[in-house]
Amino acid sequence: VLNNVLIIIACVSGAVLFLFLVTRASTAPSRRESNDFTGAVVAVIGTTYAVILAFTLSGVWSMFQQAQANEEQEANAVVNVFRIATQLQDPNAKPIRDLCVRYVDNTVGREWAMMEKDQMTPEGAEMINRLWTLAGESQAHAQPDAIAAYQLMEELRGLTQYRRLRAMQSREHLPGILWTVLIVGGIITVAASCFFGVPNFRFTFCRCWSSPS
Amino acid sequence: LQVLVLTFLIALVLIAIADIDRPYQGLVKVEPEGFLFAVRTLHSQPNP
Repeated sequence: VLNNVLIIIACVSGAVLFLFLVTRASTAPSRRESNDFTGAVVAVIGTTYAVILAFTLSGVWSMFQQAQANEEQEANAVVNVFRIATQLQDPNAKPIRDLCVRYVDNTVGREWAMMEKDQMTPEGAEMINRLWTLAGESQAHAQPDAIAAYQLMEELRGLTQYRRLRAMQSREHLPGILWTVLIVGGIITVAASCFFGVPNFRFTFCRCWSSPS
Repeated sequence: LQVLVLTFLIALVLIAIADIDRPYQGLVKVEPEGFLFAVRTLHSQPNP
C-alpha cells in the first residue's frame, strides 16, 4: 500500500513540476493562443491512451477472473478424485485418498504463500505424478471398477491441467513493451494537458468542479 | 487542478493494472477459497 501511495505522490509531484516549468518557460497569453491546437492534440492522444488503458484493464481483469475460476476447478477436481477413490475396490484407493488430503493441505498451507514469490512447491508436482502412477495401476486391474477408474483418470487429467494453468498464471505477466506503452502514453497525455492556457484560474476551477464532464 | 486529477487518475489505473496483473500477489489476489472448502470437505469425509 505504501509503495502504491508513494508512486502516486511521485507521479503527481512530477506533473506539478512539469506544469511549473511550462508556466515559467511560457506566458499564459501565449499558451492561450494555441489552446485550440493543444485541445485537438490532447483529444487525439487522450482518446488513444484511454482506449489502450481500458483494453489493458479489461484484459487483466478477465485474466484475474480466469485465475479465480481455475482455482475453484482445481480444488473441485481434487475433491472429485478423492470421492471417486472412495468407490474403488482397490488397494491403491487409500493411498490416492491420502494423497488428495496431502495435496490440498500442501496447497493451502505452503504453496499459496510461495506463489506470492512466483514459486510453486515441488511436492505438489510429485504428488500429482504419484497420483497418476496409482491411478494407472488401478485402471490396469480394475475390471469391476472400470468406469470409476476411467473417471478417476479424467479428473486427474483436469487436476493436472488446472495446476499447470495456475503455475502459468502465477508466472506470466504483462510484457515489458506494453508497460512501456502505458507509462510513456501516460507521460505524453499528462504533458500535453500542461500546455493549456487558462484565462482565469478561479473561473476554470469552479467550472471544472461544477461540470467535470 | 485538471493536470493533478488526470495524473492521479492515470497513476491509480496503472497501479490497479499492475496489481491485478499478478493474480496471486499484492493487494488484490486470488484467495484459496476453493481449496479451503476442499480441506474442510476432505477432512470431514471418512477415510478408512
